[in-house]
Amino acid sequence: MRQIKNIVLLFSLLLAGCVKPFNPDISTSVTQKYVVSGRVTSTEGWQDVEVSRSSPVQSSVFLPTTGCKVTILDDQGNVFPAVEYKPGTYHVWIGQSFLAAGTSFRVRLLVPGGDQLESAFDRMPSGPVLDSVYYAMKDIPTSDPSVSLRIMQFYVDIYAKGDFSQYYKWDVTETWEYHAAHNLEYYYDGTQHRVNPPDSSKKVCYYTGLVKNIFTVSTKSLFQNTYKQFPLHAIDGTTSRLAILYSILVRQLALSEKAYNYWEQMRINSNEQGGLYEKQPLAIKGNVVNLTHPEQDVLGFFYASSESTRRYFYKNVPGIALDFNNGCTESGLGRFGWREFTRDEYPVYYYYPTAIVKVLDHECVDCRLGGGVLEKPDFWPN
Amino acid sequence: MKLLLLIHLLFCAPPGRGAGPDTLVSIHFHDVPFAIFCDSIFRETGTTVYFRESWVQGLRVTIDADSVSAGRAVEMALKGSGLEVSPWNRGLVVMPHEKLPGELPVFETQFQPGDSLAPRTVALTRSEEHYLTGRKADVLQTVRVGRKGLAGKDAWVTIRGRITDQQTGESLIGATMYLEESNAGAATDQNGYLGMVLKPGSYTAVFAFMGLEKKRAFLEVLSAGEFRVELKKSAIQMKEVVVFGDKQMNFRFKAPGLEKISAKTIKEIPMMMGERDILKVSEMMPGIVTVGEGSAGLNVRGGNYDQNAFYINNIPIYNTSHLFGFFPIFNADIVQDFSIYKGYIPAQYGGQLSSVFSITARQGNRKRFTAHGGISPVAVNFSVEGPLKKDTSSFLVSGRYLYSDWILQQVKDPVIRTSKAGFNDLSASLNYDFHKCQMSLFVYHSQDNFRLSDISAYQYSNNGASVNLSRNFSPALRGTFSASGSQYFFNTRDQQEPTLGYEHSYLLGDYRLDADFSHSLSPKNTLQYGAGLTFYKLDRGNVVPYGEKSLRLPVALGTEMGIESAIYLSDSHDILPWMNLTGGLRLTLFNPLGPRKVYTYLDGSPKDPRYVSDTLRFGNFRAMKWYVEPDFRAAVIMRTDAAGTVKVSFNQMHQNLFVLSNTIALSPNSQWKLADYYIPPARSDQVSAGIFRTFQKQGWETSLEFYYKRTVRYPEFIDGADFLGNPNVETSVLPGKQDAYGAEFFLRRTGHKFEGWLSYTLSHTVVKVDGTEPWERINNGLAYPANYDIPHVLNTVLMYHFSRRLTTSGVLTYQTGKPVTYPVSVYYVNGIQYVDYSNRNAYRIPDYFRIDLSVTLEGNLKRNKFIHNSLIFNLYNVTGRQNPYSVYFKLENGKIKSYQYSVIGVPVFTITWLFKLGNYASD
Repeated sequence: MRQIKNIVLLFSLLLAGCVKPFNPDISTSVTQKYVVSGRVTSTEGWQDVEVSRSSPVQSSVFLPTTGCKVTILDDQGNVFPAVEYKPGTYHVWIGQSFLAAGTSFRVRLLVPGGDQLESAFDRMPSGPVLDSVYYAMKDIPTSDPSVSLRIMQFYVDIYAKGDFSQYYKWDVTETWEYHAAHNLEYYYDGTQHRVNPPDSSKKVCYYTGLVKNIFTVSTKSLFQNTYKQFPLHAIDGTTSRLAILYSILVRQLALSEKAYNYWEQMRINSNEQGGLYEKQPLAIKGNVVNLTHPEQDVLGFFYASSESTRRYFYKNVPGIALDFNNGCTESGLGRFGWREFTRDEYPVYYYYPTAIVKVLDHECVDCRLGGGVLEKPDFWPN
Repeated sequence: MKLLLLIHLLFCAPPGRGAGPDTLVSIHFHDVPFAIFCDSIFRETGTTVYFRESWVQGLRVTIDADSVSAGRAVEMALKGSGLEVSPWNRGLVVMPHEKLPGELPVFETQFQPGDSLAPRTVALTRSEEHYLTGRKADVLQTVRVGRKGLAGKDAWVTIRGRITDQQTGESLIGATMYLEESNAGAATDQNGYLGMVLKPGSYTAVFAFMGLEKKRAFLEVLSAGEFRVELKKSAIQMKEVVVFGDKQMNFRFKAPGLEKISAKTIKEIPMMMGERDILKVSEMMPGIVTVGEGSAGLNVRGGNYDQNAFYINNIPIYNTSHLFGFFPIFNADIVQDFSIYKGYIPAQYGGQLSSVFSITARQGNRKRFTAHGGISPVAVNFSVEGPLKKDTSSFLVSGRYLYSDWILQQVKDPVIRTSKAGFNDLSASLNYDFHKCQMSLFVYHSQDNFRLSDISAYQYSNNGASVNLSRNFSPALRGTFSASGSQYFFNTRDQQEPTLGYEHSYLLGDYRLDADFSHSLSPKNTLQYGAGLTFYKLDRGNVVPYGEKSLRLPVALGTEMGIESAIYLSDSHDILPWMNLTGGLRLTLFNPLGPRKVYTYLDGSPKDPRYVSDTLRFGNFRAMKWYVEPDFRAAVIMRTDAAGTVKVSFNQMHQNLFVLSNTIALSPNSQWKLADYYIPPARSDQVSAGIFRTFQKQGWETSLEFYYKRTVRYPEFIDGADFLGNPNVETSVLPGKQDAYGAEFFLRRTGHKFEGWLSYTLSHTVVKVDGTEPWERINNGLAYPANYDIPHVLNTVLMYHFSRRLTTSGVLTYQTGKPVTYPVSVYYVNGIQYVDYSNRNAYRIPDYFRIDLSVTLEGNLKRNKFIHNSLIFNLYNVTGRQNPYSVYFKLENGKIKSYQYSVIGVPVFTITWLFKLGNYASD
């Protein structure tokens, strides 16, 4: 092999790594752990504590724990007993006078099995006012080299001059209005009906949801407590978000260092991808312990935060081409006409785009099937 | 004018000119080189002596004789050198080990009476006897060592031999000599020398080297002295894989704890993309595993990837892979010898806990100039080599350059498509043989550039140079002196988050002086001793903001210096005919040096910036600590019968240099860090025992080994440790304990049409960090499997040689999936799902399985041809199995999706064309 050298002729070369879905084999008999989460915010109002148990990965369900005795305590000796207002969720109204920065809060609860759970104290830091949220258009590459996708990327800035926390988390709640494709005009339930005037009561819906990503940042390693262009979420024209009116509520939470570390770990666990230099997933420890059975881990974190919120509306955003699927499919009648539909498929909605009838999905006339509600939110402009 | 010349010739010609080799002369020389001696023979007698310079190199002549013939004088001068002289055409021809046929009887009778030395021994020497009985087909060459009369009858003498490759003149490392009569043997060292202590007499010696023809010869030992043997390339290229050492079948060759892989092994084993990768072959050996395809770093007997020392001609290499592990950093063409020590590590080596990978680069061809090169779709390489002074010195320059951007552009993924990757490496060596002394110079450079779209850019390079000098002080004492310098550099730019964009450069310097001696005290006792000095200088660099938007605060990680001084002594003693005992002690003193600012922390508090109590300042070159590290090593080899040995060893190592990274594979921005004021050197103790058997007739060799290794004070990194912005590493690490144990089974067959090997390793490695305080624990102080804990590894290599021109081979690899921390349950906070992870490394990813096939087709076997071609068809990952490299989980729109990532998920077919100048057998 000394004087030998090779010229490699490759007939096929496929070096791209491949990623495919994978189903891990994990025993389903995993202990169900208590999950206690909640926070006390700097704004007077209802403070929520959520108690639940974890569920297996394969069949993940929310398992609320009802019937707990929940109290929030501060380090001044005040006790705020909470009441269950929906399964597993307990709340208590705390007045502004108790919510000064520097106060520490903890939660204590007695679960129906008799176990007593308690969180550590978390000190409420002071936080700056939410500076500004804005967006920029970005073109990102897609798997087709000749096509790029234009997205609307939201950013937030921090500008904190003063004795403020250096740890931040943002919760983004998005709300948008969307419409069903058709009014309800014709339907068949054994006989053909026509509603006149057409029913538009299920045409307009509003979807509200928390953006799932965790947005956390610390300015601790920066030379000042400011941060430019922290990226929040991004949207594009492939959903109905920007079709009519889109709104976001950005809630800026100033956290204690411990709460930040917790959420930062949660973010790392949720966001980190595998690959050649993957990191070890973290076994995250919350600040709640089971006093009765200390060996049983309790998930979740109870913390106190200073918050500042702002709401933004976006309409007819220039540069975004709408190209979304409204979930409505229509089809022609088959050879046997209406007889092809059985009783349990009634009512069958249809309309006449031309002289020929077209059958409509339920999604076409009922916007609620897209996940939203009919009730217009209070903050929605007319 | 012509007349004048004629006159000159007539009168001024040397007196003996024309008189020929029979002319009697008086000769008085004291210690002059053979060539000068011949010059004066020519002047005195006009007899031209024909010889090849390489044969007589180092041969010095001391003669006091009156009225001897020129031929006799030369014969006297050559006595003991293994060379013979014959008269030819009124001149004299010197040839190794044989005389010109036909002339001998005349020679014998003619010169006997004129011999002025002691009367010739009546008995013929064995070679003469052999010669006179006629030249038979199986004629054995005679190697004569020393001179008659110098050694007493019962005295022990030390002989030293050099074994070289006949084709290229290069020294062979690890070539063996075995004496059939005494059942003794020896192997050549890094310079191709072997030494043995024995009684003068005649022996039948077998010289062997992987890939070369075995040679039997009469070894005639007259006194202490030196000899040289050349081995020819074997016509059948089968004996290319030799594993020995811990695997050693052979009681006689005392090199315990050694895996040896010839570069030639690689040719017939299927390889990804037809690239020959010496590190990948080593992964086929028991006890050596990698965590996945395309990942740099090896785990040897339960050690982390930073516990291996890599040397190429004594230059330490800190990043052994190009392109994140897809390509080896060593061009297979320059590798002559590759040894891996994983069990008993000779006292000469220290510094890394798990293993030593020592690569000796090839010397250039000493006979002729030659150049070779190649172009592949991804890389180009070129080498040139040849003699500077024939048979005395040679050079070799070799380089590679990779241009793979066009491949990346074929990939659909937008990030990969806009990325760039390239590497190059260059090595140059120069060898020179002085009298009794060999010198070699070696220079190495490698560089990698990798840019991942506009997200991040990595650059790293290894640079090194070494000078090695070996000298035989006497046949019994040989010394090797080495000076080397090595630098590892990387630069990382990261803009994944523009506000946190940074640039970081890092430089590690490693400068060494070593002296090693090998001393044969008696035939049963060999002493090795030496000393070494290593100076480390680490510039951990500054993490500075990169990009206009970056708001990052610059952090200076500081510089570190350390000095490691070591002395060692080891003795290998055959205490019983069937038992050899090797004991060694290596004593290392490590001093982390100033200048340095060290924080002290409050008692009873974690080492954390919040709890700093005071600052210590150390001046320039002030020793901050004195770490004394005694390493005890011992090995016992017992021969149970002719075909079996049992070996037990104890090995202790210390490590002063670690990698700061919590990634599983070696990454291009892995920082090395010295032990310092807080972080003590780690120590490992390994006990291993093995049984080895050969089944000579069937060609089988087997071994079964067990080991237990305990490592203490190995730095384990706390979760989410940030090394980038943290100059005080003590705040991010905790001292961990590693427990590793395993069994290794190896079965190999060679020398047959059907050959190959099977290796199976059963092992387990756990890590425990259980300090007394809660913050001094990882995983609640409970033991957890190491990231690279892979219990079952099976590697099978099978080859079938249909003929000399057609060989097929297959590789089957199976290993347990590596440990992973799985999400075990899901919980909800504010309606959003989160994942609860299991205990650390409580689960495993799916097992790894792969089959590769290759067919090697050699060109015709004509003897006279300019170029020889061979074609290698390679099919990598025949089943197309998507072996997971990693498994990961992601929250996507509120749902947990689990994915597996495979590096190579399809069969990859390649054809490699190899060519070489010369015929099939040429080298």
